[in-house]
Amino acid sequence: MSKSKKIFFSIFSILAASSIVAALFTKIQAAGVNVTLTPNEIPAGTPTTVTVHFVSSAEYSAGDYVKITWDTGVTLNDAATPTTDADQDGTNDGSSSVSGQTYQYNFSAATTQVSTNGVSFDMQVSANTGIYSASMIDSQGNYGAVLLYVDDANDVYVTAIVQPTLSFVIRTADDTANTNTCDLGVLDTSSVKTCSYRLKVSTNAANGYTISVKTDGDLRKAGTGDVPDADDIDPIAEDTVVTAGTEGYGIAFDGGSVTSGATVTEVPDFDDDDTPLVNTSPVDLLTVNGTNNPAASGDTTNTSLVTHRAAADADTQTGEYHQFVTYYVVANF
Amino acid sequence: MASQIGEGFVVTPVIKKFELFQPGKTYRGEFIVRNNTNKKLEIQFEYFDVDQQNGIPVLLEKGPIEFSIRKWLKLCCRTITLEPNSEKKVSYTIQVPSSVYPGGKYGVIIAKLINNKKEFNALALNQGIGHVIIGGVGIDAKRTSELLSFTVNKKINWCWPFKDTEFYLTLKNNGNIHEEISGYLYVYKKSPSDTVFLTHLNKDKTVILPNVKRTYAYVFKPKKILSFEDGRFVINPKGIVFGKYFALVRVKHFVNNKYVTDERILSFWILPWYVIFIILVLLYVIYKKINGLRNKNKNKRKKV
Repeated sequence: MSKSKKIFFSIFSILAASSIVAALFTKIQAAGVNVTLTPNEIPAGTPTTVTVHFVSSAEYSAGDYVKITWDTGVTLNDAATPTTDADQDGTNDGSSSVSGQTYQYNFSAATTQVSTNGVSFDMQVSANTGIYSASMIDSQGNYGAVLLYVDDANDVYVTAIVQPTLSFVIRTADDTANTNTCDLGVLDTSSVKTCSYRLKVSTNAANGYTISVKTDGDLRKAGTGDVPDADDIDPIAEDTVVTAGTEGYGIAFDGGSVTSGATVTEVPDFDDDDTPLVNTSPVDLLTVNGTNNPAASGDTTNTSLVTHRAAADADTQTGEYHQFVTYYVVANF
Repeated sequence: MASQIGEGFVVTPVIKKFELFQPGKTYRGEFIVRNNTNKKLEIQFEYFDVDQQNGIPVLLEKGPIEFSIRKWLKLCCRTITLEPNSEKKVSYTIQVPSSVYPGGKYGVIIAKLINNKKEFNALALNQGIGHVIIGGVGIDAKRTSELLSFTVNKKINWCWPFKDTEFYLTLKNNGNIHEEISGYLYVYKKSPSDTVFLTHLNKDKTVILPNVKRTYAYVFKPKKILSFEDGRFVINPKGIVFGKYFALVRVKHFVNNKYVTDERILSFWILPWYVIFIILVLLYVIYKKINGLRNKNKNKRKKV
């Protein structure tokens, strides 16, 4: 191998290693002089006059200069009333010019109040939303930097409004028809009887929605259904499942997904095994943090499946058992 | 005109955020209920108070009276009938008493199908859609919230971009009226002026109800490395993500009735294992190459 090749490989290795180190251990740069910007936060896309201020290490003389260079993305112009008295001692001491991203102030006379007033330069800036920096250097060797925040000081100007809309319908398990019943059939001691349906919500509300559920009591043939008794199918205990041969009633819930790909979160305790359903006040069942627009029919993906599960034992009394279940959907806010 | 979105019946708008109320004045609101089915629908209305649990609405039969709009609310009607594919406006008024404690007032009007349960012997189902009302008396209200934390889910993300880097901003509303934060999240490498990712903290203008702690989540999604713009492929250097980064949030919110800007900053690393692996392999190959050439030279010298 030639000597030049060796040197090339050595340099390449060092550069590769140092670029990795540089990428891993980057730090924010510090400024030499404390530069301030007033205001340091402006509305997006609106030309605004800002003042860059700092205290210099010594008075300026004729021939000295200050350069302030802005990031690309900032549209820079001189102020409507350009600065002519940088130290604000009442005597003109220079003039300004703007070229591209750089503002330059050339001193034509000596300053007198740098140590008390510092120096201030007015200029007009405009930019899109973001953070931009301006760096300052002067002929005395002072340097510094300052940040300009361009964000939501002003609201977005709305030119059209789309109202948030929610639609909600209970559908058969295969999502082919509307339904308002769920028939568990004839309960027996050898099996778990089930019936299913789907909760179908469509919305353009960007924050999504929350479904809650309440009942008029437990699954019962008489009484108010407020407590488990001989008149009802006993609700199962939480964290269990309905099993054949043991009297019990609960629901299994599958939240499904939504067309926007937003997160669908089943609220505990509905997110695991069977859950008793006896609450007479609304409880949250599922929340979605985005929009959903399921297909008109047959959409078993972007809908939530509710399966009621019930089983009887030898002590379960004969009769017609009923329960009234109401689902509510509310937009997240 | 209501949107044709969805089946069944539709409510729009689903949220009404009022400007702050003046004592003694009356405010009006309305929403549209549309029947998208080909059957006649009977709709009834019911009312719930509302709270939040980490931003998720919770319907309450009876919530704290100081935040309930129930007593001030008068709805135009108890029920409406909707012919197939028709809609009706439902109006309501909010009558603010002239003497009233300042603070937020909230509630939900539910439009619900009339479903006579006596008709059913088995499981009967019904559904309702909410119209959320957010308001409050602003004069002398206590507007104050606290920025509790700003965190990242992975200090080092070894699997970028297959696993997301997410930021969590948690605030608690310690006032007696809802808080609506604004501001931005900036992600940058060396300096904030070199932002690689920028997102609004609350672009959908959600609110935090009184006494509620809410966590906002943001996923770090810089621009794509390669994009197709104006008929040609463009390489975006800001899409190349590797090394240490800083995330800065500037949150605008109320503290003791003053609108302030709070800042929090944290650092995190994007170190995809496969990139590191490729670099190590490259370094190893270079090392072997140099070593091999060195040995060759040694052998040459020996021969000489």
